[in-house]
Amino acid sequence: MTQSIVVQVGQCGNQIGCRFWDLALREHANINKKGLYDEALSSFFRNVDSRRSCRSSVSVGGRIHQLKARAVLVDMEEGVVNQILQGPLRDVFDNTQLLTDVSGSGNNWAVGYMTYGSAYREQIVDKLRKVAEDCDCLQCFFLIHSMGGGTGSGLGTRVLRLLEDEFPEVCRIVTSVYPSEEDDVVTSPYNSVLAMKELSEHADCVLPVENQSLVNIVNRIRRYSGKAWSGARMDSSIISGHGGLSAGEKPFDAMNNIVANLLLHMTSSARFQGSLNMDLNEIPMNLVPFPRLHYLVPSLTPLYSLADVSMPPRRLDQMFSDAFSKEQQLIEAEPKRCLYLACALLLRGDVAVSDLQRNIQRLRPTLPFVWWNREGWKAGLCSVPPVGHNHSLLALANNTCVKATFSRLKERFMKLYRKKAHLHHYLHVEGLEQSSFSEALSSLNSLIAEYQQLDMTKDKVMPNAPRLGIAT
Amino acid sequence: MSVVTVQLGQCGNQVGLELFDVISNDAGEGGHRKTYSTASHERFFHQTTNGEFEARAVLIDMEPKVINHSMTKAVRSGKWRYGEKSISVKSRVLATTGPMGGGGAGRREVERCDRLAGLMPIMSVAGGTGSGVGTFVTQCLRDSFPKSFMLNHLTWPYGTGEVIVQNYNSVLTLSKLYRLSDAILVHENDTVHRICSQLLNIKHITSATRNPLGELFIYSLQHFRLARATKHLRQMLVSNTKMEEGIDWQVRPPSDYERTRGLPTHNFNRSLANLLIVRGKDVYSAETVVLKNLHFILPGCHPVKL
Repeated sequence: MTQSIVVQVGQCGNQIGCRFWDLALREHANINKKGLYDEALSSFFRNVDSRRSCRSSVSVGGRIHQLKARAVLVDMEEGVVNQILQGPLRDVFDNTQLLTDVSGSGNNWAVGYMTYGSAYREQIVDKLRKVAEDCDCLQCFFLIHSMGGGTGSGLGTRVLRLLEDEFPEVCRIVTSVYPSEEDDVVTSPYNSVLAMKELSEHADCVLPVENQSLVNIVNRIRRYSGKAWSGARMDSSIISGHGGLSAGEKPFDAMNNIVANLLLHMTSSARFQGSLNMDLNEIPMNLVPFPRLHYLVPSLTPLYSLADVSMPPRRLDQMFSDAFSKEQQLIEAEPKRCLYLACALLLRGDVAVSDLQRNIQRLRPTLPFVWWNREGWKAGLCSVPPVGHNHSLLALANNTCVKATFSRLKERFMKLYRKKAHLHHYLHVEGLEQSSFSEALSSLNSLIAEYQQLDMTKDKVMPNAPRLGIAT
Repeated sequence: MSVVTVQLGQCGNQVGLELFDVISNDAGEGGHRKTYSTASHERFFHQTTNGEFEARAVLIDMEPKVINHSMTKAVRSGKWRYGEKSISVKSRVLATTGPMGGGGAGRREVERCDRLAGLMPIMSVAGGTGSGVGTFVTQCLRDSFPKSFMLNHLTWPYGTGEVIVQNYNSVLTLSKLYRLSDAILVHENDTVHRICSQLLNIKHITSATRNPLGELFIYSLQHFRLARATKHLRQMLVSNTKMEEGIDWQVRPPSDYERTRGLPTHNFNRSLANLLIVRGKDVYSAETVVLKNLHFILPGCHPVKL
């Protein structure tokens, strides 16, 4: 069984991470009735018997003593991590997994990447190695961070680079939270564009998430639940942490729960059994046709399930249709209007292959696929449903609609950059030069251009493609 | 005369599990089918000193979930199980050293046979383990047992994709296998799915319903008397249909005139050789004469062996 390590960087990364661990424990508690430390648990947790030394792990099959998360928490200010350590999840982490500083990065990518990156390089690598050594077979690193801030974007992308240098054969899946238009950080366009260059070059695949989409989804669910006649189950909506460890709901918890659910869903097939397993290394393999085009648009359905069991469950086919609608995507995009390069459908719960095939046949004519991959579907079936649902679906699409997000980012960047506003804060940091900005901008431009070029091939078949040279 | 099955990857292990289940049920307990039952068991199972039947199989996968599931399911059937030492699960890190465990387990199974009839690797061509490791294992088996008969059973993926790179994997697999294997038996997910939904009226098709091949074909001819069954079979062969429903009765084999002139014949099955197996009562009265005079590619070559 393979293990994965979660690296959470910055305030956003740690808050999402906190929700992730809470919901993961809730999910496993729901399924694991015997209290045995099974293979599924071992993918994210170590089982530590504290009567012996605190680093000794109990192997699979034994009773659960104390679960420790396979995680590294990094933040340049102490507030968030301290809150985690004082909350109900304090026993899930031990001190060797944490790295904090006092003053924060000041919303400055350069401070995060250059200053703290160099200062803490050895310590970060050391902590990562320790956690990796506890894994029998490490398959994947999940990096969670935001693009707008200083630590998340700067130090986060520095950590990504370190992961590539130190563990080159381990897959790196990055969940990046992109700032919304009315972001509270003024320099977020600079931070995001500088971070984008690193993501394009060093990540295996990126799951971009936009705050605005999360807000919209949360509002929709709340509007529905607010109605007197609504019968949505409390614990089933993807924004709810009901049944988890944390008592009250903090601000942003609802939005963070969506991202946490996304990660849980993606790893479900690797943890639990199913009739068509999909391991984590199959995601980049199938969905990334060219190395730089590794941005996968996620969408999760259903958003909630009904509490009244006498009502028929929402039709399965509706779930498939919803997954491709623009309201359900986690970035502001319209995938049906753009071009699909590849698409993966991960189903959980009580769904059969025939349902999957039927829906793929039904939806295929409505979705524009690129000419060299018209049957570009990857499917995974996991038999264990998430908490509160009978079945659910995660769609990961490599779609050219991401270029809209990047174009908007570039526009906001150019507004500031033309005036050279706030630039001096970055240039004062040792190691950062003007050229970093122009390189980052050109990297973003070329990425947008690549997606644009593919978009232009929509509805066309390119004739006379050159023959593959390896056939003799 | 025994057959050793090698189950590779998720698909191979799932199909293999159902196969042994069907064989075990088909062989039955004894009684008036005693010789058949003993022969069937001997061919596919090894009887331990406790009288339990252990499948002559090697299970190979790169992660343990499916194999564990197969092992528990087999034990639950009560009639047979997999041997403890028949498993080879390699973590990703060790995968580069090759399935040496598989080689060892394979050799052990073969040595337990009195007489080896052949080897049967079961795998899919779409995935990574089944196709890649499967081809490698077939190569190792061919190197270790050069004179053995090898029948590869392949599962062909759905046309609309289960895996996006399935086309690469399939082509790479076939390019190696056609040189290594003595025979390749292909079953297509699309066809089997259609049979399940149209003929067997199964609405909710899971992989457990798709896999028991033997049952499908037994079922499809169940209702007819043997004579009528052979007539249907003949036309299915000629028109290259895989299901009884929707047979095109208009298609017929080309006459000598058409063939010598090289005139095009549509939808007509071009096969070099066919094997017909008839089971059940009154087998000897089956009118197989209708199948005798079918010339497909080579005139003078009787392509139907009985």
